[in-house]
Amino acid sequence: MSGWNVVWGALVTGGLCAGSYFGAPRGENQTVIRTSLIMTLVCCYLMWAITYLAQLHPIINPKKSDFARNADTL
Amino acid sequence: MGEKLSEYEKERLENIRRNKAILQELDLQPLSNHIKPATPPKAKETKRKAPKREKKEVTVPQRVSLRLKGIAAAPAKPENGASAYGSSLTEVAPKRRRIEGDLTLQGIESKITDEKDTKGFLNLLSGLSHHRDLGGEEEGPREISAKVPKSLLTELQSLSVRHEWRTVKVTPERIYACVFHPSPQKVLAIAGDKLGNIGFWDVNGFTETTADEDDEESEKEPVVYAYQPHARTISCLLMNPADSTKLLSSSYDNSIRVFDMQKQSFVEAFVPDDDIEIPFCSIDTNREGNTIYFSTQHGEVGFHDTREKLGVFKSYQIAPKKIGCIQLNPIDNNYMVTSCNDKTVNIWDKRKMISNSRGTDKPISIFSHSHSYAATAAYWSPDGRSIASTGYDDRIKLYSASSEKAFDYANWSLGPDIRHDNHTGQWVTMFRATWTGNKRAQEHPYFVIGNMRRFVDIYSGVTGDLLVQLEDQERISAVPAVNAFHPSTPNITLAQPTVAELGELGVIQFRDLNPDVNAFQRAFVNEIRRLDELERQLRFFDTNMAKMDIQARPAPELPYSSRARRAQEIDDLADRIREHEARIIQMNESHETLQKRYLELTELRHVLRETAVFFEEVNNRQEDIRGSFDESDTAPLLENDIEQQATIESSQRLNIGYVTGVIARNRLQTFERVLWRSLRGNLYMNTADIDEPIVDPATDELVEKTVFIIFAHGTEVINKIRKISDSMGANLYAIDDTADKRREATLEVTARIEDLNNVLSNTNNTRRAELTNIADNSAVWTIIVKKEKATYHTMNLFNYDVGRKCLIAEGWCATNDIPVIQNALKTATESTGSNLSSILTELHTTKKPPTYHRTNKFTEGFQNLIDSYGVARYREVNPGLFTIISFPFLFAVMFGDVGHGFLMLLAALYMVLNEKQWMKRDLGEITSMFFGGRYLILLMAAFSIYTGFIYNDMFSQSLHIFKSGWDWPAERVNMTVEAVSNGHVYAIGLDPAWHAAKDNNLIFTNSYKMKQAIVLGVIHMTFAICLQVYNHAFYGHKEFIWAEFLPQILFMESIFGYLVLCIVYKWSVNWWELDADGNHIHNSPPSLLNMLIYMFLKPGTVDASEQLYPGQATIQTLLILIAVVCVPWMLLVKPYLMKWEHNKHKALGYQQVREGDNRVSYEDEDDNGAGTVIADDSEEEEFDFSEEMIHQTIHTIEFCLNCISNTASYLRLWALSLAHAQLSSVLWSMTIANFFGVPGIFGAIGLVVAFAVWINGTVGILIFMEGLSAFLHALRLHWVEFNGKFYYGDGIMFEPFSFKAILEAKSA
Repeated sequence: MSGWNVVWGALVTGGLCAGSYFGAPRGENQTVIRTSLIMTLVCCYLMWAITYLAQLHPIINPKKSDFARNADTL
Repeated sequence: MGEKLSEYEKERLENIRRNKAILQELDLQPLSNHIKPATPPKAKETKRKAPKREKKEVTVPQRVSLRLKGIAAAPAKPENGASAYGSSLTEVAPKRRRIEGDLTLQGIESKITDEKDTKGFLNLLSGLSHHRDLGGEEEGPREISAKVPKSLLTELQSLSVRHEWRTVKVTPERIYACVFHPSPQKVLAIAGDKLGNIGFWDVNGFTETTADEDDEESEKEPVVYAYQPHARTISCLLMNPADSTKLLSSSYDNSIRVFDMQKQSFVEAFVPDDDIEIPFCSIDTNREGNTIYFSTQHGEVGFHDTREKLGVFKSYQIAPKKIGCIQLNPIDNNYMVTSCNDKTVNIWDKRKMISNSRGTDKPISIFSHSHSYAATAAYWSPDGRSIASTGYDDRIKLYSASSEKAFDYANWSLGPDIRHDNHTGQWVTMFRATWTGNKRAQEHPYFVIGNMRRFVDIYSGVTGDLLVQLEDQERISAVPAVNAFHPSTPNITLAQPTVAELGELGVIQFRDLNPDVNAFQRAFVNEIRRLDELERQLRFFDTNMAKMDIQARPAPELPYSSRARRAQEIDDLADRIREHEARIIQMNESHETLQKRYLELTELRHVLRETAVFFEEVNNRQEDIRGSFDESDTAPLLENDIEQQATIESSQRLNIGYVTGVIARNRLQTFERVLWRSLRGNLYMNTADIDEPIVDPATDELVEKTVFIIFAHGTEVINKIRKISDSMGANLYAIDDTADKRREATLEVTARIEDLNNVLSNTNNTRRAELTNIADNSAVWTIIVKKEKATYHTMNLFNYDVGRKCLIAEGWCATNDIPVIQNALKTATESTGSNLSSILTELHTTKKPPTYHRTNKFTEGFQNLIDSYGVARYREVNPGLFTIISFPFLFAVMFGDVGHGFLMLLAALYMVLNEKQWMKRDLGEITSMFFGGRYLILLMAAFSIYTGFIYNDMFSQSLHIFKSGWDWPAERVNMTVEAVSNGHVYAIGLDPAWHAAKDNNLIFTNSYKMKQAIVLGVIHMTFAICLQVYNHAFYGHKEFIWAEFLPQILFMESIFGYLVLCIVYKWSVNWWELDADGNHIHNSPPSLLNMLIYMFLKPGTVDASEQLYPGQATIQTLLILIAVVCVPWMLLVKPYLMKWEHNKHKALGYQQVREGDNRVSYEDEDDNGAGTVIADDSEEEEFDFSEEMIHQTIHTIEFCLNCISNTASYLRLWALSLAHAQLSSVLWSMTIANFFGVPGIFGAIGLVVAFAVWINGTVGILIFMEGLSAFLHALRLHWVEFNGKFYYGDGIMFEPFSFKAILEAKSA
């Protein structure tokens, strides 16, 4: 269900990539700007998507023990 | 007579009126002013003046024509009109009288050129560059080689008709005279014809230095402009030697005009009064260009000073017939040569002519020689040491100075007598042997003459041999009667500023074209040596300034943009520096002498002072000595002597002498001992220390000295003492023994010391002033000299083309920079006013070009990361581009923390914002390293903030922004609580609940970060492999795409791509999902690691409990099969493919091309700029199958193993990111966290201390050390894992010749 968010995210990223491809200002640094923007978007998306996916269907639940704090052993 | 005049008057008025009308029509106000309304002339006067000159010439005209005085009645007198010439002028062609007044281009009659063209002509004129060198450069006469230099010969042989036109009709009628404009940009040929037209021909596209024919032909439209400023034949054209904007033309129509290219008008330069006929045959000017010398048809020569009024001239009747040619000696303007139709060739001395002019005698020539028929031309060679005359007797005669004295004409002898068909007949302009004026001719003068058989002959001016016969029967279809040489020089003068200009740009890397030539044999060694000398002198200044504690003033800003210096300027600079050096050396020397003198005087003063004490003592002791005759043995000198009884007063009589002097104190002991021993104690010595130390001028050291006086007996002994003293380095001073004289001497010495002090301080001041003066400029000079030196070093790399006398440079530059370079070449040409422009030609070569990545301040740091791994092969995919983002990102994966990233960002921003100040400052090595990577750090910090946000880490604390996916149950003491999922997923980043989960957050983040590392790594490597495609496509190995790229990517993806898919799949499946009955739909989540291992260990079988998805076994088997197939695919296909292609080529009969090192890098003459292929040192390797096979085997094994190890290598992302988070968390909990709960003042103090510890730890350990380690790991991932997949990195760095780099390197 919420796994689709990753797909939506991919679509949004793809759209932004296309935007930066065509929107990069002309000039001698066009390629650099274009590549940098697209790669930034892709990297950030990957990072987010991986983190999101990893928590999508958790296999373990977070646990904490109070005594640890009280006993001051950790 | 009167009627005639009035008739003429009408015509003239008509002319003036017409011209004026045209001018007014054109609204050329300033120019039309020249023509004033004509007033009726005084008709009766024989010496009538032009009305416009009336005002100026009310005074007595200075014209002293012998002819008019009736001294030498010429056969052609204008008054009676009886001369054949005069009558033809007035009767046959009444309209072809001289055109009156100044003529503008617009106002002039033109048969070829219309209004529109005139504009084009004006443009052409503005394109010419002009030089005005009064006097000109005086160069010492060069050795004239008796033999014709081979280079000259080849050069002349290479001359050819330089354009495709069949005919260029420059003037409407037959050309009588022609000349080249000395402009470097445009080759402008100017020709005058029979009817008084002057034609200008822009010989466009000419790049050669010499171009000599005018009579060529063509189809295309040549750029020709013609005007008619004269009414009759133009007999002579001449460029003003001092001002190349002025073209002089003389005509049979009684006028000499100057075409002023700036005013764009033909101005009358010399017009005799109306009643005087001076049909000019030939003109010449002196070197300053202010006096026009002319010869006429009537056998007169004369001169007119252009600074005087228009009609003023002096003339001398020197021959009865037409003087066809007059020329001044180019070296000594006092001599001139004429050729006359009365068969003679004469040399005249102008000075003698003038002195004779008052007398009745005809001027006498100082040298005369006769042809058998009329002499048509006689010209000086450019060095003024020989004459070539042409005559109708089919002879070209050479006369030359036989002795060293060039002007000793009595000793001139007839040199070679050349037979040459000069019978031009009625329809061809007569031949004239014309010397070449360019620099090559200084080595060996040569001249050129037309040939009736449609050749152009070039003869040696020394031997008279025919050097070259230029022929082109197709193009030269008429007899080339009139020839001229473009006075151009070889191109070295241009090359130097050109190179300098390029050095300022710093965009070209020059190739060494003479790699075999040793450094001492190169072309510009002398220049470099000279500059070395200059450098030495500058260093000498520096040391002197350092001695005087004078700071050299730093060079002004932007020293790099200072323009190129001309040779002249460098000469001046060298002179100045030499002068300064001489002065300083002289001052140093005199300072030293003075110092020495001062020292001597000081010592003398001390001697005088101290000895005075001794003498007094001695006087006082006189009694004691006598008294102590037998007792003491402490005074062995005098006591044991018989003569001791003598008193000191009688010491002279007793021959007791003394020696006084000064010796260094540390030598005193030795001195004493030596004296004692050598004189056996026969001396009395007394010493006194000088309290002030004395400066030794030789070493500049302070030396403590002692005055000594030695009394001894006997001249020999005294002499011995003197010798010993000398050998011990003591300075001896003669002292008078009488007290008065000593006092006098003391006074004198003191006075002299005073004087010397003054002189010394004066010298010092002058020296200081001189050095300060130098200090102002020395920095700039140093820069200039260094640049010059670099320039010549670069020029040494060039190739001198003998045939074309130009320097050829080859180098690499970016294609984008070609316009910039061309611009620079143009600027250099313009600034030098040289004769030729530099030509830039693109060459096509098989040589490996250097790689040049244009970077800016942002990309520079990233490119450096890649370049330190390896410079890209030419036009290879540059990983630097992708590194810009991938590097900071991978860094941030390991360094993810919002807080740390933020601190780093602040530092980076500080550097970026202050970069302008920091650029100027001299940073330390480490700081400048960080500064160089400031944009890298900026991006790393920004990405760290992002990844920190994803990791939900901020100084190891978590942010709770979105809704958490976990609910914590109420806490219970001593119980482990487990959060319950509420169905949400934390929107961005790691759920803060995991932060709170002290028990198992490591288990989760461990798995998450490990998987993330694998996913990112595989994507990164896949991207790298895909970049191969571009390389294969670019280098023309499209087949490698399926022979190499395809198996590689399949191998990679079938194993690790599959693993990534499985990871994503596993994440996307809810493993604990229950069906309607509450049973698990899936089995328990399988371990992916096991899956991957068993995929290879037990292919085809998947344990049911470990199954990830149905059909897994089949798919895995398939993938393994693909991977296995890929290995031999990779291994074999590429080598066999290459072998097959090689065999195919061989079968077609192609052989390996081996051109050796024949370097054909500049193209043929007719090839206008299109490149030629150079096949130089083509090092194509012989194909060797076994070698290729071995290479491929290694490559295959490497790739397969690397796939595994590289994937594992990306796990460093996981390890470092975990370590960073843990370290950060430990630091927090061990410092600040401990004091949060502590109450009271103790808690507050503790918190402050803990905070200090924590912030130091954070910055020092977490940001600096961890950052450095993350940086290195990211670097490794890029160099090995990423670049290794596609990057050859075996290119050569582009190192352009740049003054900036040179200066910086030298100052560093």
